[in-house]
Amino acid sequence: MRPKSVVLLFRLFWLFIVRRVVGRGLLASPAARLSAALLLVAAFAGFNVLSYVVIRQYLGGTGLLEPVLQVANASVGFWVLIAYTLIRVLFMKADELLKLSFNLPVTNKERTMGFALFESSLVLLVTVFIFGAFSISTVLIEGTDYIPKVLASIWFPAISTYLLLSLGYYLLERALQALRIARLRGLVVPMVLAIGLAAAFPQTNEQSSQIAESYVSGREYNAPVLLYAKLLEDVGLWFSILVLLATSAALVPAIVAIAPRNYVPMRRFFAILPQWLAGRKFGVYILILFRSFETMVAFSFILIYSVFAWFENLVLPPYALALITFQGVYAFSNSEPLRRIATYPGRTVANYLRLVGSQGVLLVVVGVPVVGLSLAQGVPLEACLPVLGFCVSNILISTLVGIAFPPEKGNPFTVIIGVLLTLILVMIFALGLNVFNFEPITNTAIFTALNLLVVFYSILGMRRMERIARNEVVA
Amino acid sequence: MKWLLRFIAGLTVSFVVTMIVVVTSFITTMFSASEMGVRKFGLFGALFFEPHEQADGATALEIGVSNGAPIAVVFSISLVFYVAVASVLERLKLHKKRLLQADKG
Repeated sequence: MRPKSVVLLFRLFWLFIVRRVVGRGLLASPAARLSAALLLVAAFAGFNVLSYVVIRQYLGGTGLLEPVLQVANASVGFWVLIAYTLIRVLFMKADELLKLSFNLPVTNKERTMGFALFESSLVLLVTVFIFGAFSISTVLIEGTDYIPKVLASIWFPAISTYLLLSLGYYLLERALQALRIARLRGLVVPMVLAIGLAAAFPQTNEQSSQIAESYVSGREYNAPVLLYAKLLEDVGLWFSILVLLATSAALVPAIVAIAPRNYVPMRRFFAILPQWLAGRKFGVYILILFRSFETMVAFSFILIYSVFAWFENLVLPPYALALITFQGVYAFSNSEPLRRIATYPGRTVANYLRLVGSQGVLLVVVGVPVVGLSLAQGVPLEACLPVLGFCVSNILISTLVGIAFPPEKGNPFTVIIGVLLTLILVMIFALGLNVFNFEPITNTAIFTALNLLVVFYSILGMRRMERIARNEVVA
Repeated sequence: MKWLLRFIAGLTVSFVVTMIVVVTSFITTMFSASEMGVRKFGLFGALFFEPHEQADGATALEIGVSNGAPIAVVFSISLVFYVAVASVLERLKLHKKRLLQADKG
C-alpha cells in the first residue's frame, strides 16, 4: 500500500465534496452561500459563548469542574459513537464518491484507506463541534494548566475510541464478506451501531452517577475509560501521550491489515411491498419511499430503540418516531426520475401531495405499533399527540429541505448542511416563541401558519425546479 | 403575483431576523440576571427575565415580553431593509440586462 495514493484520494474526496456542495440548490447563489457560512460560524461561536457563560456561572471557582471533566471523559465514548454512527450511516451509500477513484491506478486497499482517512476527518469535525465548546470554555476559565487535563480526558480517549470503532467496523465487514452477505451491510451495520448505542447509553449513565457518588463520598473512582486521565495524574502528560501513541501504533496497522481487499457494492433497495401498487401514481410514490435504504435504516433504529425502551422500562413518549420523518429529505430527489420520464408529469400541487402523503402513510404504518407500545407502557395519549404533531410538521420541513438542498447520490454532505441549517432555525423559532409566553392555542396557530408557509415554499420550489428541468430539455 | 411573492418573502425573512434578535437578547439577559427576585430587561426593555425562589427552595423562572414595541420596530426595520435590498437588486439586474442587450445590438 502506497501512503501517497491514500493522501491523494483523501484530497480528491474533499475536493469533490466541497465543489459539489457549494454549487447546488439554494447554495448555488453566492449570497445564500455567504449567509449559510455566517449562520454556521455564528451558531458555533454562540455555542462557545453559551458554554463559557454557563460553565463560568455554575462551575467556576466551585472546584466542581474536576468531577464534571471526569463525567465528560466517561461520556466521550458514547459521543464519538454517535458521531461515528452519523457519518457511517450517511456515507453508507457513497458509492458514487468511490466510483470517482475507479479510473485511478489505486488498489482496493488504498481506496478503502483513503476513504477511511476522509471519514475520520469528518468524524473529527463532528467531535470538535460536540466537545470544542466545552474544551475551550474549560481552558479559558481554569487557565492553560488545564490543557493537559482536557487533552487526557477528552481528546486522547476520543482518538482511541475512534480507532477501536474503525477496527470493529472493518472486522464486521470481513465477517459479512465471509458469510457472503456483504451486500446487506447497508442494513446490518446501522443495526449493529444502533445496538451499540443502546448498550452504551445506560452504561455511560451508570458511570456518570458512580463518578458523582464517588466525588460526594470522597472516594477515588477508577475505570478503563479514565485511563489517560489517571496516567496524567499519576505519572505525567508525556507518559499519557506515549500510551496514546503506542495504542494508536498497534491499532492503525491492525485496521490496515483487516480492511477488506475487495469492494462489494451495497444493496440499495429492498422490495417489501407488492408491485401492483405501481398501478397508481400515489402507489409508485409509496413504493419509492418504502423500498429505499434510508427508510430501512430509520426503521431498524426505531425497532431497536423500541425493544430497548421496552426491556429497560423507559416510559417516554415515542420520540424515536421522528427518525422516520427525516425521510422527507430524500423524498423529492428519490422520486425525481419519475417526474422526468413522464410526458405529462402532473400538476405540481398533486405531486407535492403525493410526496407528503406517501410519507404520511409511512408514519402511520410505523407509528401505530410504536405508539401502541408507548401506550402499553403507560404513557398517556395526551403526551403522544404532540410528538405526532411534531412528526407531521417535520415531514413538511424535511421535504422542503430536500427541495431546497437536493441531496445527490453519493454526496451525503448536502443533507448535513440542509438538516443543520433547518435544526438551527427550528430551535430559534421554538425558543423565540417560548419567550413570548403565548396561550397554547396561539402557539398552535403560529405553528400552523409556519407549516403553511413551508408548504407554500415547497410547492414554489418544486415548480421552479420543474421549469428549469423543462428548459434544460428544450435547450 | 411577483409583488405578492416578494412581500411574503420579506415577511418570512423579517420574521427569521426578529426571532434571531429576540433569542440572542433573551440569552444575554438570562445570563446577566444572577440575583433572586431582580427583574432584568433586555432588547430596549422588550423582554424580561426574573429568577425567584419558591416556598420549597426550588428556583422558578419568570420570562416574557413586557413591551412589544421594540420587537415590532426590529421587524419593521428588517422588512424595510429587505424590500430596499430586493428593489435595488432588481434594478441592477434590469440594468445589466439592458447593457447586455445594448452590447449585442
